[in-house]
Amino acid sequence: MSALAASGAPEKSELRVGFMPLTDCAPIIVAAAKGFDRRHGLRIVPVRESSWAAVRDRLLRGENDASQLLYGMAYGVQTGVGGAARELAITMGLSRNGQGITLSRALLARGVRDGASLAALVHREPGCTFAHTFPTGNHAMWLYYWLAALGVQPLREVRMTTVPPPQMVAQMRAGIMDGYCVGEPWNAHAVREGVGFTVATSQHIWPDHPGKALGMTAAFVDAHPRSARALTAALLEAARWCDARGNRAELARLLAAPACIDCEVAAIADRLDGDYDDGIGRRWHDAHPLRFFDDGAVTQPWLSDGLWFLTQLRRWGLLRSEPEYLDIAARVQRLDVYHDACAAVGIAAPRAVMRRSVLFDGGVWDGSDPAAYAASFAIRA
Amino acid sequence: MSTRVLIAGAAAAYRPRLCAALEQAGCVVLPAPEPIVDLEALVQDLAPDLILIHAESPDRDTLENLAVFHERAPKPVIALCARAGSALSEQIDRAGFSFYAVDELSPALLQSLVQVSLAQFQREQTLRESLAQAQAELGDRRDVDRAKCLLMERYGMKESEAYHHLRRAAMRRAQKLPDFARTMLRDESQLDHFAAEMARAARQA
Repeated sequence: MSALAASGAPEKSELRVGFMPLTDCAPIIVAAAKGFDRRHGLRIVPVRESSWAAVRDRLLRGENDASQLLYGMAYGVQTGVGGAARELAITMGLSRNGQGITLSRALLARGVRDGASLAALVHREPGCTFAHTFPTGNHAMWLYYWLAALGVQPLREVRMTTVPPPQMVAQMRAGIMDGYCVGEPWNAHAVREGVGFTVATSQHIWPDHPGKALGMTAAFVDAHPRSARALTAALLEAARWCDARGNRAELARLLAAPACIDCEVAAIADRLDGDYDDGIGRRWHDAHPLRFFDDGAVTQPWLSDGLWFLTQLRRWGLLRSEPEYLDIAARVQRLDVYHDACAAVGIAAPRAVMRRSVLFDGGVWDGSDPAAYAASFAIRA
Repeated sequence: MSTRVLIAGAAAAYRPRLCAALEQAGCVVLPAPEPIVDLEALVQDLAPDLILIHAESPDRDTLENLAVFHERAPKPVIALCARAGSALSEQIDRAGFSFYAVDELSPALLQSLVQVSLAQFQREQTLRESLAQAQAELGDRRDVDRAKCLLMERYGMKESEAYHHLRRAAMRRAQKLPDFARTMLRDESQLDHFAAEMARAARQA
């Protein structure tokens, strides 16, 4: 991109940005509500969507200019899982941590209190049903990873289905499923309603895991480089605002509003602050709560984060052949746009493009040799 | 063999006509409970060739999961459109429906079924719009009448006089007559103020 294109007004100033009504849509809502968009010559119009399928379709058709995306889903679209492949661009991460796995009270009554007792039950009496939010989505990947690490083959030993987040609690109450993995406030909601308990948080599975991402089509970024940069800059400032402790109460109110999640403030506030109650007697302040910025560690579109989702799509057979891991991740993770946006708002972006993580089963992921990593799991498709 | 269609999450109002149109086109419309509680189980039981679902239905993600994991399950037509051409895709965009179809369904048949469905959708849309317009006009007339009656009762005006004053007052504000009538009805405390203004205008005339 030329220096001329990098400066000056956005090519398109009113941007429709899709989001799902979840606690981690915060940066999009805040950018519009607190005027971070106007600082960058934009008007962000948040567009509330009712399914991830609609999020994807609206983005691909150009009805929305950008969208909150599940990281895994972005890579599913890029590689054509369950549809035609389309070039996507992730210009920043929007969140980390703060998802969870809920099990039903009915399972509790059958002696299940944790992962080990669940695995024992599944082996003894097959027939459990679990739900996640999208076939290529993050929640599917957390749930599969967690079950597999406990020795359960998630694609064969349990029935796996997809349920819209706001319907999770009702379906669990109706006995249609025994467990689910979803974003907040829908795990906290099950605890409040006495329908289920939080058996694991997503940050327990992978401390500081990537969550949602800001996605655009590559075609949109190519045609509107200044808009893409301005949007990323506005959301960076919004993400920083979301993380400030003093703003947390206002953030909870913004998210609970009818135009966003439409729930009680109390349903969001505790877990947003990192205060957890698992519903069966354990209360704690989480060391890795939902975060939006953390000095740019959350927002950096790490290559290793993108690669991880590719390894899991391969692991579970959603990718039928070995993908060109690094090539794909380098195309999707638009570090160029991210760095320009950081420069515009005076944030120092880390130079590294890979980061090292240790998952709950002791597995280490640092972005090196993704093909070997994908093949290293005993339980896979 | 006729195409087996499942209509999921379509607005109840246009469901009967949609069924009739699809049946006329040679489809079998499969019976489904309303509301559908477990869509995945229903799709697996019924094995439809084509699913019509409201574009805003949250249940679409359930269909996406089936499409990825089950060879025989209907796939999002937006994916099939990439092969069939973009004209169909554009029509679907405007329809408010999403379609999921099995691979075996021929593009020509799919296209005609989608068009049959869209024609019904547009017909319903037109009906709804004209109904809404008729209701709005009726409401306008009712509000103007009530404002007129109020002036007649309060100030002993004749009907033609009341109407004339209302119309002039609306014109001075560059408002539509029904909108001004509603302003007046909403805020009766302002009525004397309006009346004084009307009297002034009458004197000037």
